[in-house]
Amino acid sequence: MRPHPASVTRRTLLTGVAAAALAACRPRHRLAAPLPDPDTAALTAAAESERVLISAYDALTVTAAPGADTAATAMALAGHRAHLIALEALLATPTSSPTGPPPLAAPDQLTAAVRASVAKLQKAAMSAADGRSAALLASIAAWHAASTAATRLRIGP
Amino acid sequence: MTTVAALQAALGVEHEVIYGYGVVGAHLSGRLRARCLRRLDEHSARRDQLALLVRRAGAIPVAARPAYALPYPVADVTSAARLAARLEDAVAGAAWDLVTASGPATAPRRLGVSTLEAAATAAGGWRVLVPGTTDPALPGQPG
Repeated sequence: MRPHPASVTRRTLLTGVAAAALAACRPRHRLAAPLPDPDTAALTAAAESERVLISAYDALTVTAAPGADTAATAMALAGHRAHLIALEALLATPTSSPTGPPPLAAPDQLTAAVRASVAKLQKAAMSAADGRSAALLASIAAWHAASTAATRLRIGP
Repeated sequence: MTTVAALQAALGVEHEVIYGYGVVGAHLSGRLRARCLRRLDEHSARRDQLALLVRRAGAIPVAARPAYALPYPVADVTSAARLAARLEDAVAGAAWDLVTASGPATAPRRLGVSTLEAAATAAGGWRVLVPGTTDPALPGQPG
């Protein structure tokens, strides 16, 4: 897709040299300024949720029955770990590990938990004072929504 | 980036995506074509919302070009789905920027948040048809 240069933005669909040059101009939203306190609370809560999900998916991996969809579990784990890393990078501090063993959860219960997190994350994104926090929370919500939609496609009608 | 600039950039992407989905749809049939047409309707609605927000901000919405060059030839279902996923990824990127540039509890922030979800979900649906592709863990994230 190649619009007139005057309308080129970092998000256009150009390929090749122009896109690479534009990508190099993209800002990096990393720790340019301290986050407002309410954002820190929201990001910390999101990180704790990701830790719980990671623990639960880890447990699921260990207890997986023969023939279980291990690829889907691995993909979910990779996604939630990436979310935790991004949240901790923005917070600039590691969050604490959840205490106690992870709750036992069947795959469909975990999927339901991820789906239920979407509205909470989006609400936090809506109210975040800092745009960096808002975008990260909204993006994690989007991945949670997309991943559960994909699960529904696989197992549902 | 100002909110208006982010809105204009997102609007420019929607113009491209609407054009691109026209190409995608020409190579699909049945349920996939219906899915493509649904997304086309949704993107058209989002384009109109973005244009409205640009006008409310006192600016003139960027116009669509008569045509856009495709990044690669689209000749079958797989290449059409790959283009559709690419289009949705671009929308997610513009939405990330819009969320970043907008203030809390504003209409642009709301539109950016909902667009991120819709684009990530749609991109994932198209990627199912393209072997060897995976969804990014953070849809729309720069870099």
